[in-house]
Amino acid sequence: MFIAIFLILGILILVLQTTFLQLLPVWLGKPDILFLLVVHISCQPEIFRGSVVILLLGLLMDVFSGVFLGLYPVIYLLVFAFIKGISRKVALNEFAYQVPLALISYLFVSIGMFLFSYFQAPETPSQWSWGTILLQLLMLAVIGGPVVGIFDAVTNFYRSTSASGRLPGTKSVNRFKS
Amino acid sequence: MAGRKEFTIPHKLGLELIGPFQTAISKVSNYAGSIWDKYTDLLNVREENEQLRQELLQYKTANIEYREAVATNVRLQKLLELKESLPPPTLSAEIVGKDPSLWFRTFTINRGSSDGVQKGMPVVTVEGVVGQVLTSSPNYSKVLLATDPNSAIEVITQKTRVQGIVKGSGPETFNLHYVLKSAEVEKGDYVLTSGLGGVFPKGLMVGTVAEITKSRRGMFQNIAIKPAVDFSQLEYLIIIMKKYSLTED
Repeated sequence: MFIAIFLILGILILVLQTTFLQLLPVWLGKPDILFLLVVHISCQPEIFRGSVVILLLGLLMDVFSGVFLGLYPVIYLLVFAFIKGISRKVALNEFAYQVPLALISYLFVSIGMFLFSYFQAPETPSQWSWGTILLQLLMLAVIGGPVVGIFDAVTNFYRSTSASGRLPGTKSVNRFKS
Repeated sequence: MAGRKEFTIPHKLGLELIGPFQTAISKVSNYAGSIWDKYTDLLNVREENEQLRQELLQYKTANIEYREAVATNVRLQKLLELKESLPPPTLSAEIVGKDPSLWFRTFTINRGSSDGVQKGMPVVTVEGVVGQVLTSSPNYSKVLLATDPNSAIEVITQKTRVQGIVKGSGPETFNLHYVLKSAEVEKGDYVLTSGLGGVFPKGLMVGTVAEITKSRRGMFQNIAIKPAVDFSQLEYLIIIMKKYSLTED
């Protein structure tokens, strides 16, 4: 159920990003809503199912973006591992920390992508533009709150439906349990 | 029987007393009546206005649709002219999705392997070269744009016949590589496909030389090319079909 819900949500966002959001003026940037979803999933306690969804979303992203197959699954799984690593040390509040986490992760991913493209085509590397990156970060910061709110609503819906279907005596997932 | 026809003094007094009230009330009622008439007229005008607005909206929508149809017709006509000028067979396609990332430049088009589309096939528009097919599924294909840093096209300058390789270097810019410093390249010269790579047919427009710089170090010139195609306005494309793709691994 977790995998199906977030996979469908990811597909809808991907379709939106490759079609409707491309109509936005260039100065508004390209808001990466799928990346916010990746961060949101990474903040959830489900490790196995979360990583499966992240992997599938990365594979889907590979289909519609880029030249090198396998690049997005690796990037998304690294983001997943990064956030999981932080959540071990810090008790992350899902809503409040997701947008800042997304911004930090996005910056790291952008640097990683730039370095990757530089080593792939050193004669014509993609040009690093602080203006574009900052615009992207600003867009993520602006839309981050409402979008993560929607993701939270979807997650709560999943939790409520899975809790109502749980057998008596079984325990719920406790991420902070030692 | 002859009755009294003349008012008596009390009658006259009554008339004189009530007359002004009648006049006043009559004026007020007339005024109120005219206001009511105006109000009802206004309501009618409002309804008429609403109706006219709706009609105007319908005409505007029809006009926009008409203009769009004309624009599409012009585009398709140009595309058809280009299609007829290209070596057959060719296939027209429509862009259905664009790369959402900042780092890559690819499109998804509504033609795939079931239409005969294969990896490496050139994709063009009326203005010039767009890119080449990167991969295809039965009904859709992914096109690598010429502006992507991973793209490379063998070209020749029209006037001076200098050969080189054009690679993407930004959202809408190319660079011409491997042109020796001794080679003569003019600003504004047209850059065309040379046909040497075997991917693109010879003579397709790629762009114009925008800037030439010769640094002290290195063997080659730095040449910026202004693309002939406006990559932000692309809608319909033409795929030049080939029996065998030369970029097959």
